[in-house]
Amino acid sequence: MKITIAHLYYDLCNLYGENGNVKALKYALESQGIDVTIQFLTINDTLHFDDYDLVYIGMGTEENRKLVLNHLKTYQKEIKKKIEENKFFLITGNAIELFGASIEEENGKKIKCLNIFPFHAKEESFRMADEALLKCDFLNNYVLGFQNQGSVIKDNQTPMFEVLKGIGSYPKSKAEGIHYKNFYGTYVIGPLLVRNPEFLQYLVKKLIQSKKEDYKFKKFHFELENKAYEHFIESHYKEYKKEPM
Amino acid sequence: MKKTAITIGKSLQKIGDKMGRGSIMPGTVALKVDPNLWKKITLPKTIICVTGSSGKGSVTSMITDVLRNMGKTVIYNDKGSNLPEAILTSILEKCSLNGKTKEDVLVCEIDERYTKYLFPIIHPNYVVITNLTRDQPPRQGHFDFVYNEIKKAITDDMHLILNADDPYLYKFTFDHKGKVTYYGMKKNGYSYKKSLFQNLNLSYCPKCHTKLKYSYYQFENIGNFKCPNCDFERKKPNYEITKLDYLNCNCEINDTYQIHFPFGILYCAYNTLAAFTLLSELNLDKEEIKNQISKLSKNKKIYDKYPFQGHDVYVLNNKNENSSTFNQSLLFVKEHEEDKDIVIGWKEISRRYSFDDLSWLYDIDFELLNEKNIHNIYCVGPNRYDIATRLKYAGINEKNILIYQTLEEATAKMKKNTKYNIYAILNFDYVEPFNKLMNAGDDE
Repeated sequence: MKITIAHLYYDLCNLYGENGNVKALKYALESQGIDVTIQFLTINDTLHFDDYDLVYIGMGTEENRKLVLNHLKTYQKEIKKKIEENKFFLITGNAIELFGASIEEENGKKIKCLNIFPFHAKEESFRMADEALLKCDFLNNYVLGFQNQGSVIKDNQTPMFEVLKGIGSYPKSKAEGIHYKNFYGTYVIGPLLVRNPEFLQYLVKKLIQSKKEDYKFKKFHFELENKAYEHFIESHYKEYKKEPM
Repeated sequence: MKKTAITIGKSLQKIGDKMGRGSIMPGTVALKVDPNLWKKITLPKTIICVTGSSGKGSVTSMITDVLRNMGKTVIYNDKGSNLPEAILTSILEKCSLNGKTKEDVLVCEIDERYTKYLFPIIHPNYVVITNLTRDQPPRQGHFDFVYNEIKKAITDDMHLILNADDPYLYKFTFDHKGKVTYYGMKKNGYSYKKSLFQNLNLSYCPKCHTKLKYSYYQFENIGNFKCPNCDFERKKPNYEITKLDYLNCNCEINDTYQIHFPFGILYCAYNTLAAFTLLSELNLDKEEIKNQISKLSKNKKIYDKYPFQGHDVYVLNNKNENSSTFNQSLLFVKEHEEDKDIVIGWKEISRRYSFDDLSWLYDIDFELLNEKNIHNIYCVGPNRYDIATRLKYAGINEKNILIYQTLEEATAKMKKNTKYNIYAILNFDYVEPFNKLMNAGDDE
């Protein structure tokens, strides 16, 4: 089986080590015998959404994000259609804001976005950085992560996570992320999938099953990843420790 | 009020000095007593500020030492802090009770984000910006954010000294009407053609946003760049390393001045060049600057390399949450082609804050360690599994990844097993404990 991942704007939305997510997907898919192609694409390239099984975009600086948005907007209709048709999207950090209605800059100026989800993002005059401990209904374990952002979303209708610790969509919010069909979006930065092997396994299985429902999975080897996960929970969130699956 | 503030500042400085700490507190207290104190102090005529993500300490200390050895008197905030209050403390130590200083030069190492407070007060004549890289993201946000903070502080009367090889730094010059002096490095045996690093701060033209073309790289996005769409390109440096030899730590500037620098690694060559450039711009004798820098470098106590059971140990001191310094260490390891083992570790990710961001591990190109001549990689400390996982995703064979909770266990294993040279890439909080453990067993 062949699977193609589009790592969009790999050279502009690359702020906080988020290519770790693409490395994780590639490794996990290959461990299942999948022939994986990663297409590294950016603002000079023509995008063909029909060719991609999963689209990944990571976090960028405020300036880079504007460059990206101009390019991405030319594919607005196609992206909307693909999301409705259950195409897989994994979007991390402030890149999730591109999929909302608008981003309000610090000076009050509003930038129109893809308008796939009806939420509005707002840039704040301060930055927010903190650990994130999150919970969602499709995973047994808590999701570990880190957030580092200068903007917030306050009116998102389709959250992915319940916030146990951390910033969430905005300081002191109870919910975080966007989950709609196979669109997975979160403010969590960095190697989200590496740090949460259960999430990685879940996503990879779903992605493969979307192409072949009765695919026979091999054992995933996440020994190191699981140790890293368990050790982090143990040293940071003892009170949240769960029995392993 | 002024005299009281200065007297208090001076006494607190002396007490703090005896206790071996407290470089910020005297300045802070003196400002509480007299909030206008800065305005009442007569500063030296020449004021040099050095800022940037890394290298500012090395550059300021080199500048200060050379100036002093050349007979100049200098005030320098060398007591460990680079905030404005610490700079005031250093001034209070030297000034008279009337607030007069008689020194020739004030040299300040200043935190990037505090330039906007310091520069309007002291109006530096010279500003060296070494680099703006990924550095402590939870505290700094990101490089654009830091850029905006420094930009606010810079006025046209400041003479900027910048690295010509770093396209990002040109953003400071576009509307700067004051003088700019560039230093840089000519293509040499260590330059490479194809980019080795994935997560660059800037790969598009800062003027027109077209992807930059490089004829060669020195490191990350540092090299010889040109925009295919507009006139943006690397400027010919005023001071250029025309020959470079890492092995013997020698370089030649402008085909004329042969200089010895302290350690054969890229940032060390650039820092030395930055100091040479600044000192030359002060119209001091270049021949003498050259001699002084070389002398200093030779006398510098080198912790970085020592023998161990018939092999060599290299200790590369890194800052956590700073992927650029880490990437330089990896490039250093790659350039040394003998068989080796690697050690990676730290005691804590940050001493400034309690949370542990791990994203920076994925900004580092550990893929560079995927070499036949690299054997075991020791992952040590509280984040040993995170380091090991990162190495796995870099394609390193899991059999070669060794995991240890403590340096004691890791070094004990090295003492039994080592067949090769050891390259230890450590955060500063592991450097001394590691050296101690390694040297303890090598007496026989």
